Amino acid sequence: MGKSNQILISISRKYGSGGHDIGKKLSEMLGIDFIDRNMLDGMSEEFGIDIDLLKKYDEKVVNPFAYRTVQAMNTSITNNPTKMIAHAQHEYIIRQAKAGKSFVLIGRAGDEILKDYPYLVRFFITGELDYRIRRIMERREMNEKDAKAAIRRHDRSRRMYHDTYSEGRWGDADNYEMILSSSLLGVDRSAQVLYDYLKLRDII
Amino acid sequence: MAAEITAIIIFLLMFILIVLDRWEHYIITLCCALGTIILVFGIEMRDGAALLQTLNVSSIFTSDFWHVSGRGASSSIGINWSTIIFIAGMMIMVAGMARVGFFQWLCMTLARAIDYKPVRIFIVFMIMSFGLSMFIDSITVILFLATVTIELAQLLSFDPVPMIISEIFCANLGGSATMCGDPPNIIIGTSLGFTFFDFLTNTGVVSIIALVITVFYFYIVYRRQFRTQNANVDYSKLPDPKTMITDRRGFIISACIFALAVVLLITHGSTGLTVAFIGVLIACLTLVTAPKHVKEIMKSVDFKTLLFFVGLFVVVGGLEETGVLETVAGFIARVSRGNVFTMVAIIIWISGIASAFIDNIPFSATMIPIIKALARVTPGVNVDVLAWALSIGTDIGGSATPIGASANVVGTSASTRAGHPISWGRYCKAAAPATILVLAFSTVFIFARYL
Repeated sequence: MGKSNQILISISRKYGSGGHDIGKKLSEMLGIDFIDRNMLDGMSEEFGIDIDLLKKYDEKVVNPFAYRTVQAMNTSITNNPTKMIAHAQHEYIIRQAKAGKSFVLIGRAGDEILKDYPYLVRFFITGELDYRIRRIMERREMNEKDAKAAIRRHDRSRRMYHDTYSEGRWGDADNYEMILSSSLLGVDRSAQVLYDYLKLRDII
Repeated sequence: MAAEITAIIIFLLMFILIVLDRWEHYIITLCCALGTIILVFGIEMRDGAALLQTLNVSSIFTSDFWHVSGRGASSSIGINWSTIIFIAGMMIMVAGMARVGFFQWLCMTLARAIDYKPVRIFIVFMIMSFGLSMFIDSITVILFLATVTIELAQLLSFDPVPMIISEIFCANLGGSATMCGDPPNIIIGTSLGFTFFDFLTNTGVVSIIALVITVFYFYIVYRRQFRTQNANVDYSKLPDPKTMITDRRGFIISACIFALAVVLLITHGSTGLTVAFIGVLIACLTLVTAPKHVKEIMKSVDFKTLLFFVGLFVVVGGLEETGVLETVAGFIARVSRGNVFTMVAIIIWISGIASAFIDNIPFSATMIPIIKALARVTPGVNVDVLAWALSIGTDIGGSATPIGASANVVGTSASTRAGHPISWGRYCKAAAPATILVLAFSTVFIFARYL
């Protein structure tokens, strides 16, 4: 595999930047697991949570005033579905890391929840707005107006999710080792840049 | 004046932080309590006596704290140690019962006794939820009842949501019937010196009649959901209730301790034993009879909730010592122009509406000194009637929304985890009219009986 026994890579990304695809490509180049929405299948079985529910509230934040957390028999119980699912996801991810697995993790405040692991490398993928709009228009078959609205909506949701579970702020340079704009390089070459960076970092 | 303003700011800050739900609630109340001690009692009031009165530790060492003759002991200003000790004792007893599988056994035994017919389960579980919540905190009742309901729903192929909503409502209703059913009642009872029987003969009567109305209401609302029964259910696959018991000897002992607790609570008005004494006794019995499981039982005790109460009482004590609550009472007296009907209506409905959206424990802890002052400043107004109004308003109002009471959070959370999320709309559509119905009935009942 590489010089480290374990490689943990957290990729935060703006909507439409290709961060997901870059992460997937990087995981293939490194030959390690790729964790995104696919973890929901495993979680559904492990925690007994309905898969459709997991998908509905995955990486989202709902109005905090509409839900509460209470203590019962020495356990914190919340009826906030996004919090329930986020905690289950974080638990799942930490368990994978504790088991010594190497993986590329997309979103889910990975930069925070895995911060205690020395081999964690945190990336943030962004891109010019025009590039992101074009990508969304092509991939989601949307017009420009809808693509812009989707970008605004998803970025807001990702920021809220990240900042709810993290001490650092989403997209803040201090929070990442590298922030990369994918607009000029595209998916494959951006993945190559991250790969080369890991080499320079002596991780692989 | 500075002390009053600081006490109000700390109190509001505590409430807002609890609603924001960003930090653990016990940390919030303890930090706010520290702020009250340093800023209000220390810097502004410079009153050591007021601080000692709020901490109220000396009350534990008086004989009245453990045994009284005549009307029950009333806790003075500050930390209500009777409430905290009693809740701790109940937590230990409930943890002991949970360890041996008492709740699952009870639910499955009842379900089997009524042939696993969904509509019968629906009605019996509502009544059981009410009955258990009269003696055990409604959070625990729903924690187990919702889990069993979901299991039965999977096995018998019905939607568990209507049943869970109805159970939650009845748990809150049952909690309002007795002194030990819901934390607001324990606080009201120990603060004003009521006995278990005082509650049973006042709020208890309202709750039992309201239960009949509630069962009828939910049956009308949800009857279509349970009309059809899945013919393909293999009843042999349903678990035998006996298999739910994890420790047979422990089960018998736990059941006896629970029965003893019920008897002691019902008779504590005549025996003179206070709820603090009963709490300590049942806790000791639970631990002494299960020496090998002390660690396991103590792990289930919610020390965070107990610390939450300590902090809360200090913050409310700050408001009380600075005279803020007296001012609020004067305001209510002016608004109601001394009319006791208006006063009772205000207390029931304001408590009901507030409890539907905010935690009813801090709300009732704050309201108790207010109703005491209200009775003091208004001639002809009996504090007992205001207390019943407060108890009903806070306990029943909490049923209206998914966040109104802790039992609602536990029930909706269990349902969501099992893949049956309960939206605000679905919950409120059934529970809000029921809440209004019961509150309206209670208002009329109190008017007719006491005024």
